[in-house]
Amino acid sequence: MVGTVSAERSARAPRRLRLSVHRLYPLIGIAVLLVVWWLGGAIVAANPDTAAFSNFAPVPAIAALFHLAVGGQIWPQALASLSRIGQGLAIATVIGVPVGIAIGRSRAFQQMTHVPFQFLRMISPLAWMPIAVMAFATWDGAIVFLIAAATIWPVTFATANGLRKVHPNWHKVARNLGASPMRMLWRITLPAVAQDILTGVRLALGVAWIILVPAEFLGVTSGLGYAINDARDTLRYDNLAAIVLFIGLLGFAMDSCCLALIRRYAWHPEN
Amino acid sequence: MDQAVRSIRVEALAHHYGRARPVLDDVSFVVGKGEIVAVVGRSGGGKSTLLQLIAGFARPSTGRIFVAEKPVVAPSPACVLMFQEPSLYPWMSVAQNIAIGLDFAGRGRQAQGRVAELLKLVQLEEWADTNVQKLSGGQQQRVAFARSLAPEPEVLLLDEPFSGLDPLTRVALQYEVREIARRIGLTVVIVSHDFDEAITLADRVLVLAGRPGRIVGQVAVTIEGTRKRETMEFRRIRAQLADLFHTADQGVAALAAAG
Repeated sequence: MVGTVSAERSARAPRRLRLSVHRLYPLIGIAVLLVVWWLGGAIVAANPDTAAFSNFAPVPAIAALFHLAVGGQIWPQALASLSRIGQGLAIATVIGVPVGIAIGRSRAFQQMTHVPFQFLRMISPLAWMPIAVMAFATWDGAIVFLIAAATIWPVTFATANGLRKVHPNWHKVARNLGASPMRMLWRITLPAVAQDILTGVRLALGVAWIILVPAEFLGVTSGLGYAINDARDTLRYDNLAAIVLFIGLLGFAMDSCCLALIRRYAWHPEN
Repeated sequence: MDQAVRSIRVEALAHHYGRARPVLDDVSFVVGKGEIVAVVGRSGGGKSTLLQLIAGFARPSTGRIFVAEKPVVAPSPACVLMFQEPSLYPWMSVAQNIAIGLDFAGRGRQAQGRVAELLKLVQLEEWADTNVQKLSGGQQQRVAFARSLAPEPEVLLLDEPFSGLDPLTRVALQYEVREIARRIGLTVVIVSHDFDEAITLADRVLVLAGRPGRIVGQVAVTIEGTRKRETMEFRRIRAQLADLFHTADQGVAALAAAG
């Protein structure tokens, strides 16, 4: 009996070891990133031509981030950027989800919209900037428009793609059991594609950050993009690197929230 | 069963999809209240089309269909179609799937009692809060059956609902469905290509044969008690059905030869 127990324990040991090694992988990734960053900073600092940019290195950047966070300077900028991203994503979702559902449900609508949507999707959202600046009274409005214009596509196409995977009998059964169009939407269609919608929002979030920073370089006097530009103009490269680091952390936190929501609403067998 | 009261009346039904050859032609029959009728025929012979038309998912090219003496114009909870696949909502639990029809009907408040009753009926009380993806194929079909019964339909239409199951589960469910349908006085129409399934379940078997499909005959199933496949009576009815098919096939071949 004692022999059996010890044999079981020794069989479990390598498995436990494998599990703890799995937990180490993300830390190894972070460590590699920091080493590459540190090496880059060291190379920049060693070259007299680029030594002025040595504050991009991890130590000054992390110290600057700490000061910006404790001193409170970074939070209003972050809030301004988050507000623009939130508004842009909300508009993209409110328009993109119904349009995606229509594309997924109606072959005629899908065929009608295919060429115009693929054409519009290929235009860089920043190309709309001059038009957005003329069309909106404020820079804020223009930036929100640019984010919405860029993020509507991942939301729309992810929703449409999700609808295509929906079992045709689900809607038939609901119709047979007397579902009104609104109940069909809330109880069947949206839960069936919730995971796909959230995947689209997750992709859109990445796109939104890509658009936000260059958009905030111009016109506005708030936001993380503006703060980067300001740090560059005042030669505060430690602050510039700190804000870039902060954007990365913020983006990672938001992506993790999206992932948690996707897991919450996932029903596909592979999940 | 009260065959004087008609649950389903199909009159001179014919159907074709677009310009394709007709699938059904001159199909007429009546199903009494509480009666269980099986329609047997070959795959692709128009059986599923017949059920889709009775359920109101498609309009017949010609002819009329009445359920509870009302013309069928659209799908309704009075006449529920159960598909070959359970088609359950995978993000819901067993109880939520069963209750969904009541929710659609705005009877959410009654759902708890009715769902408990149906869970007991299909012997899934312990699985009420389990996600349906965790159930076996047979259990999933039981949930689909309970979900179909929840809105208290006048008629239940079964489109080969046991064909994806293993033989033991299939036979067990056939007995179960017949027993439950008899107990609650439900009118059932089942389509199948399996004679044994039709004889096990039905009070009467209609034979749909030919292209386009026509009803070429019917056999009453008068076996009392449990319908065991090895009994003489069961085998006699199976032979009768096979004869009807054979005769219909010879007729089709003769017509084809005559040009």
